[in-house]
This record gives sequence, structure tokens and C-alpha cells, in this order.
Amino acid sequence: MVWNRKIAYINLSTRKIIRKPVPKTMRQLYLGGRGIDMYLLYNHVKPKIDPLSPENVLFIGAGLLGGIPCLGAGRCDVAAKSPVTGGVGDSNVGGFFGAELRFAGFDHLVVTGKSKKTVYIWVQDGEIEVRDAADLWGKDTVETQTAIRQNHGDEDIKSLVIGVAGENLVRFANVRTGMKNSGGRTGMGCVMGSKNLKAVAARGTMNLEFAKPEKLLDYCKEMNDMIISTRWARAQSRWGTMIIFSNTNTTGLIRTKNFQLNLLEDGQDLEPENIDRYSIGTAGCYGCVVHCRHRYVLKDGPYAPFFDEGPEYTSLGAFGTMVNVKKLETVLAANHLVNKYGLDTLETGGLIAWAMELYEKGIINDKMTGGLKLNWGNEEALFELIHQIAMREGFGNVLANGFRDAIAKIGKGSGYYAIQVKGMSNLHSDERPTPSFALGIATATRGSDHLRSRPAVDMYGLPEEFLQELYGGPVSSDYTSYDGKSRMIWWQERLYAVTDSIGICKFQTVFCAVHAPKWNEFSKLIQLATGMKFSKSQLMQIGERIYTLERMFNLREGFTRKDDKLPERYFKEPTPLGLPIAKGKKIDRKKFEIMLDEYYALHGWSKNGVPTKKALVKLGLDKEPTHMI
Amino acid sequence: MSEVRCLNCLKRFEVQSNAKEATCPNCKTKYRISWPTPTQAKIRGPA
Repeated sequence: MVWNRKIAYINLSTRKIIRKPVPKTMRQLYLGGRGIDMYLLYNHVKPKIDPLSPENVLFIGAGLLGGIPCLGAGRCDVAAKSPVTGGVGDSNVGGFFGAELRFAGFDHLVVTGKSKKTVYIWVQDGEIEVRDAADLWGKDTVETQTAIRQNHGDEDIKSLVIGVAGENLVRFANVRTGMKNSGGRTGMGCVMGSKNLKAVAARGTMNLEFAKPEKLLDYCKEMNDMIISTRWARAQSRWGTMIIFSNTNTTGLIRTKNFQLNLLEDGQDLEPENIDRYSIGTAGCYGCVVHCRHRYVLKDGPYAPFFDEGPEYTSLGAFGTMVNVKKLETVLAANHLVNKYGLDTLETGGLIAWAMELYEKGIINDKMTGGLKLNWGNEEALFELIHQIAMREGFGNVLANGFRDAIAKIGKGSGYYAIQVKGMSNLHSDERPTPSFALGIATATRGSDHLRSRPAVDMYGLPEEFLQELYGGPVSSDYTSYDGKSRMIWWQERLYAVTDSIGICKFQTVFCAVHAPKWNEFSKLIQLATGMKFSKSQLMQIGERIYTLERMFNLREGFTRKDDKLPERYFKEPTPLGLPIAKGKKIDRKKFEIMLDEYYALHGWSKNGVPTKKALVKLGLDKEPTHMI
Repeated sequence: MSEVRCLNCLKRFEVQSNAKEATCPNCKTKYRISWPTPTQAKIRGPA
């Protein structure tokens, strides 16, 4: 049966490999993907270890529904203790790797120890080998994938790889697959690099046995029709996530010059329509009918000619608004660079924007930057600093360990200007007008994060009767209000935990599209694919279990309520620009704390954010770690 | 004709087919418009 793909334990120190079935109990409690990865993280990673030591464990998990032909169901979860935050490390990546891993017979890989030599893991039709990667080391993320395919003589191999940033142990190095897909956040590429692991490559031809294959196929078609009928998906399929820029930059919800402004004036060149100048079409991930990523060619300018995919909305901020760059071509080139090096776009852009503000304020100078003129919009400095970070050279090496280390090294009050939570940078969104988003980034288990709980539908001003029915309690339809927003975050957290565990794309659930598939549709898909039955409330409880376990991991590592905070600037500096709805807004500290209290209470956590005994018993977490797998 | 949601007052309003600009009748905010498909309008930016 489809839920019974195997889990493999791969010790890179001893080269010992053990294969086991995934017990059905684990599926019933955690589904797969992120859910089972979080169970493994809590159970296999010892408290307080150094994330870059051989004691850290890397987990790679395909979603429970990986391989079905709808909703982008080829996603894969990569987890470990994070070298960025010291807490939950977890990143969810699209593309085709997750599905291929399942076709090769495995759902979960647990990678322990550290190899003496550089290696890659080769997974094929139920077999696993650890192979020498000497000829891959030093290659960029695309070259690595190409070389693996050439070495094996098989163009259909899918690989999860790191670039030179991961090899150089840049703390926020990512893992990548295909031209564009990244497990960007929390430094999972750095963990791979610390193990001398360059790649995990998979090729599979094993059938997935579904419980009701014909009905599943019909329902997948229904799901694809459902998602593509939404306005959001239709717009996204035309311009990708760049589409978001039009709304946020018009309204004044986008960080500009690090955090000094909240929209980019004269930023028309970054509008999504302009990708048409370079696009040669769109492409999608496994099982996706939306096709949100542009394939583009840049013929002129630095690093041209090149071909790449994207850019995501995140790149428009990281290498556009935040560093005051107003040329799309510059964003495309920077996007290409970080993709090749294997760097997290958000962390890289966030750190460079912060450095530019420090430079402007005289906190750092030419002597410290090695002569780099970090003026706003200086694209040569932008490209050079990306390179220096990846190679750990010059001033780039000051930034390569992330915000916490850089703040400690630079000092002089530089921390005030850093837009980060728990050591991880924020998306370029400006959450001062949107309390729900602000609560989300403050409480997310992996640091400042828009993908753990963001209720993007809060922006639509939906009727309160509708919101009450959706979220199961009163929620204000005014996105500048604090009322009911803790409930929104709590609901979205559970939905996204389940989404990441069944391996479908967040854009194909209630993230930006309110009429997208959610609990009941997930329940039916799981039943048709696996035969397992879950009610809506049972799925919500699984989401709660996963999120609470992540919270427990962070608490064990020393996080407390004081880490569920926002950068001080959110409380002190009102937004200077934008439409009337967004202008002059800052977060009210008292209301924020009340919202945080409400959020803890909804979870069944104490005032300090610690799950109560009652909450743990209800979720069956009171005896963790239980070491079931 | 197509509808867009005003980014300031969040009320929906109609946009004439192929229009390049539109003004929200409720709060008077003026936008540039583009068309992802021939029947779907989208706010491109402030006018």
C-alpha cells in the first residue's frame, strides 16, 4: 500500500544502511513529510547539540500523497536542527524529487554521522548506496544535477543538492532541486555540507499502489479543476508569485531600503508584467496545473547570457525593494547567482539590505566592508557581496553566519536595524499594518516565517460570517484589526502542517485562495489514496500535534515566550508611505501581547508558551520522545 | 467587464474591458490596470 514506503537510516560515518517499513501508527499520528520529519527530529536529535556536528541528523521526507497527479503533490520536506536559529530546522521544497523518492521505494531518509570524504546518496528502486562525490564538489547546484545525470546515463534522475555555499558552511545555505526549487529556509544546505554530503539522487520505477486508483484519478481531476477555477491560481499561472508585488507595493506592505520605507517608489520595472520581456513560457512542479514559474532568458547584463526560472516574489524584495534596486534585470541576475551558489534568497537579501542601512548610518564603513560601497541600489556591490557570502570572503564572511553572529561582530547598536526573529530574517513583507501577519512571524517555530501560518486571505476583507465559519470563531474582516487574528494564525498553522505532511503545495490550499482545497478535500484524497480515514477534526488535531512537537523541540533548546517577539522597529517606527489603509501603522505593543496570550490559550499552552500537561495528553505527546521509529 | 478589489477600501468594483486605468467609486483611489486574461482585470500599480 502507498503509505508503506520505507524509511532508511543512513549512517555516513559507518556507511551502515538500515531499511524499515513506516508503521501505520506513525501515519495515523503524523501522516508523512513534515509531520514524520518533526517526530524524527524530536526523537533523534539530542538536546543542545551543535547543528554542524556529526550528531545533528538530516531528515528527508516525501509527503503522504506524494506522486498523485494533483495539487503539486511532489513536495519534499528537509529537516534538522537549524544552524540559523538553533531550533527547528525545516524546509519544504517543490519540484519532482519528493515524488521520485517515492517511486524509488522510500518516503523517509534519516542521515546520521559525517562522511570523511565527500559523498552523495544514490537511491534507486529499493536500493541505497553512498557514492563518492569528489567530481561533484565545487560545482554549482545546476552543474551538480547535470553531472549526476550524466554519470548515471539517465536524464530522469531527480536530485536534491547543495551548491558551494553549502560546502562552505554558510549557515543559510539551501538545498535545491531542478532549476528553481529550493528548500530555502533554516540552513539545511549547511547541514548537508557539514556532513560532506553533496547530494541525494533518486530514480524510481516502482508502482505506487493506491487504495481506490480509478476514483482517486477522478478526484484528482476534480481537485485540479477546483484550484484552477480560483482567481488566484489563474493570475498565478500567468505571472507566478510575482503577481503579489502589484498589490503589496501599491498598498505599502513591502519592505524597502531594509525597513525604512514600505513601498518602492518608481518601482514599475519590478511589476510582474515585465517578466514578459524575458519569459519563454511557464513550468510547473510535479502534479501541478497552475505552472507558476517563468522560464526566462537574460541575454544582456552581468552574468548574461543565462537561462533560469522564477523569479519568485521573494526575489523582487530581497534583491529589489529591500536594497533599493529598481531594475528587473538586476533582480533576475541576483536571483540567478543565489540559485547557483545555493543560498537562501531571503536570508541573503535581508542581510545585504541590513548592511546597506548600517553603511548609510555609518555603523559600518569602507574599512570594514573591504572597500565595498554599500550604497542603496549599488548593483555591483550587491553581486559582489552575494559572491563573498557564498565563498566566505571579505565582508561576506561577516554575514555568512547569519544575523546573530553578524550583530555580535559588528555591535554598535546594529541589532536594532536587523529585521529578524529567532535569528532568521523576514520576508520583505512589512507586517506593521497587518497584526495577523505580525503574530505569525513572531510565533513561527522556525524563525521569522511567512510559510508557517500566514493567513493571506486576511487581506481580502471577507465577510465576518464567512470568516467565522472558516476559522471556527469570530475574526475581524479588517486586516488592520487585532480581533480574532490569533485564531486565524492557529487555524492556518494546523492547515499548513498537514499540507506539508501530505506533500502538496501551499498555494493550492487556503493560503492566497479562499476557495481552494482544505480539510475535507484532503480527507477524501487520503482515503482514496491510502484507505486511511480521517475526519476534518482528526486532521486538525494532527496539525496541532505536529506544531506542538515543533514547539517542544524549540523549548527544549531554550526558547521561551521572549523569543516570540518582533523586531523593536515594528513597535516604534510607523509606516511612512502607502494607501490610507496602510500608512502611519505600527504594531501596538499591548495589543500584540494580548494577541500572543490568546494564541497560547488556543493551543492550550501556558502564559509562557509552554504546552500544558493536559494539552500534551490530549495530543498523545506527554511521553515523547517515544522512539517508535 | 471585470471586477477588481480596491486595495484601500477592499470593496470590489467593475473595470471596463481593456481599460488601462480605473478609479474605485467608493474611496476614489486610482489604479493602473492590466489583464492576465481577456476577461480578468488586475491592479498593476498606483496611477
